[in-house]
Amino acid sequence: MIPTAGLASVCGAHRSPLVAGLDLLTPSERDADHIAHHITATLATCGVEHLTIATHWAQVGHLRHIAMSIETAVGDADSVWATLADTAAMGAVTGLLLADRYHGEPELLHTLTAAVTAHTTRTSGRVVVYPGWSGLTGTLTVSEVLACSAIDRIQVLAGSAPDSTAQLMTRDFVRPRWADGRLVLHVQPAAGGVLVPFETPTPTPCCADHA
Amino acid sequence: MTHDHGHGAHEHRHPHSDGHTHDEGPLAPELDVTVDDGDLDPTQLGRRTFLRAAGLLGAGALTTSVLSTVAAHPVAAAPAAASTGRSPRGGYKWLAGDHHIHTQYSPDAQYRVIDHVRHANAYGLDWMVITDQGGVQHSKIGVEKVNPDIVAARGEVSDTLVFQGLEWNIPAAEHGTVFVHPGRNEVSVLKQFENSYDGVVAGATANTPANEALAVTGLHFLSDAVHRRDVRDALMLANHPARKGIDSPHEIRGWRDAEPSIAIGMEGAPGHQAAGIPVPYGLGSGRGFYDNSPDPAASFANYPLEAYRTFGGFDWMTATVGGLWDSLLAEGKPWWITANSDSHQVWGDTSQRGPGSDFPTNGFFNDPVHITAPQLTNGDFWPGFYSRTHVGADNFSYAAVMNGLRAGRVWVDHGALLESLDVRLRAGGDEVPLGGVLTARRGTAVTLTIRIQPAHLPNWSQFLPKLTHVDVIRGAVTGPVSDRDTFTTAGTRVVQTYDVSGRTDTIELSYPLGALDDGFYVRLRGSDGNRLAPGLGGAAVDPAGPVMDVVGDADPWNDL
Repeated sequence: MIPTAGLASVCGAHRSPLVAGLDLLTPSERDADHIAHHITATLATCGVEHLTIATHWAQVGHLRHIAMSIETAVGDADSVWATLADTAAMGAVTGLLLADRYHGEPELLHTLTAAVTAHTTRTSGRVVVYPGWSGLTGTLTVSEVLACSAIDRIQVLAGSAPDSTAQLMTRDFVRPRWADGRLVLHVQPAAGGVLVPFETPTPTPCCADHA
Repeated sequence: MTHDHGHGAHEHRHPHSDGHTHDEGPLAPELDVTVDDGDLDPTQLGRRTFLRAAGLLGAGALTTSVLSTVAAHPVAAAPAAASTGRSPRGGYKWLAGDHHIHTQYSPDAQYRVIDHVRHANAYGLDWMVITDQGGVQHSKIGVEKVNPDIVAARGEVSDTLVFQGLEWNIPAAEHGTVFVHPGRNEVSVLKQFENSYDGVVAGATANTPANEALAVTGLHFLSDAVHRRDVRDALMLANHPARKGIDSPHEIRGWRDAEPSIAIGMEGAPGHQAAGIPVPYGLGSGRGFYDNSPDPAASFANYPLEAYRTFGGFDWMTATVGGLWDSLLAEGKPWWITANSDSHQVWGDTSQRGPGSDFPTNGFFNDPVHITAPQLTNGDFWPGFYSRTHVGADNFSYAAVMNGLRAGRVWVDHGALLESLDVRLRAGGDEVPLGGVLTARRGTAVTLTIRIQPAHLPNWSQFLPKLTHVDVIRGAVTGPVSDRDTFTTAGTRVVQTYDVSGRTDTIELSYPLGALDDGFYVRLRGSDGNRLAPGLGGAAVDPAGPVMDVVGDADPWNDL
């Protein structure tokens, strides 16, 4: 690990959002989801809540992987940094970015700057943890989903906006994405006249295992 | 839905790294390639592993790993499509087939070769390709062991042509059918191909430029084998291309342009057509098993989410008017579509794999045994049962089938929607069949003639399918694209829809395409009309096209 010099600590301005970037060269979004939930649980024990955590596609040379961005609306920069640093310490090659502070491989600063920017501007990113995420279980109506979570819009693939009374079978797995500043959940019609999120928790595995 | 083909984003998500910037002082040990891995401490080794995986190890590493794609023989000229002469007197022999079938020699399939051949024959197939999955066991065992089974089946069933092929794990991409004309060397050529160029066998599945180049080299190998007359002919088609978003447009163009006589097309509709049959009658999954999401490690970033789903059972690349397939045709180069079973385990079957099977050791599953409960969670049909690829052949022979495929004399259907289809383009005194290229003086009147025999016998779900619509799709030929990752073309749209509901007699249509000005292509599409909606390109492009399939509720017989 090559720590950068001249660390500038962000003061704990409790009401201003902090967006940190964490890159563990995570190979898949599902792995990143587990890390996101772990971070959420850990920060909760420090009293840091109201997180928004997103995954972003990242690339260094040929190596494509997932980087993460972590936003706290109300929080303490130091405890966020400490928790993320502990998480980062579990990996061999990592990067951690929070405002001016960067710790990790120089190649990953670029991916994390991009991830943090995408998060801050809400232009892209697949959002795992967001206000209301834990309540999106079972089957809810479209209007309930919009009212009880940070999701701004539900978009039916190859279609238009759904009726507010339409039922969404969450499969307990809801991963909206940012697009043009809005948090959008893409859905598709499923059996029984319900909608399901585009991303399924149980995709059909590929026929032959790839190395 | 039936398809044939005719004649004449979401922001970029790949920030590229500039590479590391260690430019002061001596080279760190992990960067010094003269230092062995074993001499590095764990932290250094971890960093070296990362840089190696990223292709950043060593100066200029990003640029040095591309293999040469210069062919070792004179590059075959692009085929002059079909001959520009007339169809043979009496027309072509239209032979129904399937180029994507898995047997007990695939790690996730079940049946004997003879099971598939007899079922295919019973369901009316004239030709079929056994395509067991490339892999460690197959490359050492299955590729050889399947051959006597195929030879025996050829002897047992003389009116279905049985090719040996394999399902190639295309380096850096999806799967592909690769097959060869039968002969003395059919096994040795396939075995050498698999051992050198299969992504799983060669450890070359990752999405890197080197692996993309390896795929192209594999195609050159097949072409070389034909030139050397090790085999009489060889073909490759891309299977379920949009399923995981990992066949990028530039890779498809790369295969086509590297060996246009070998890499000739892709599945327009995937197999696994029973996968969406609703619970409790079926698995209740996604039709075609198209239920993936973009994979950050491998998917082409600019494909929309819709690309990962089927439309009327068809792959998005083919289903979208003005989409990827049309963007290839608009370049004026051949690229054909097929429809196959991808048969692994059949819906409703009353058998299962033989007990005591040990695929990792033996390279096959033991012969199936009877069970009482019909297997309703299997996602496939027998070859010929639902999906068919029809090829216009000069005669009933292996060579003629391969030539017909290459020439693009191909149309596909589901559920035996049509009995026959004859489409010709006419201008001046000249005419060409499907796949043909017609050349005429500017200003000559061009006409498309269509002759359809609707089904007159029930299909394999015991009902008589009813063709209700025939669409003519026309696109401008605008020449090679500058951005090889283009997957749309603005110049293509549905220009005519015929309502043929209720027609049981021969349907003859003649569509005037106007005076020849700039180059164009036409293709045909038809359906039973049960599920239609404006296409993804909008109603002006496609007012009534296939609908995105409902996950868990996609009875394929209700949507032909």
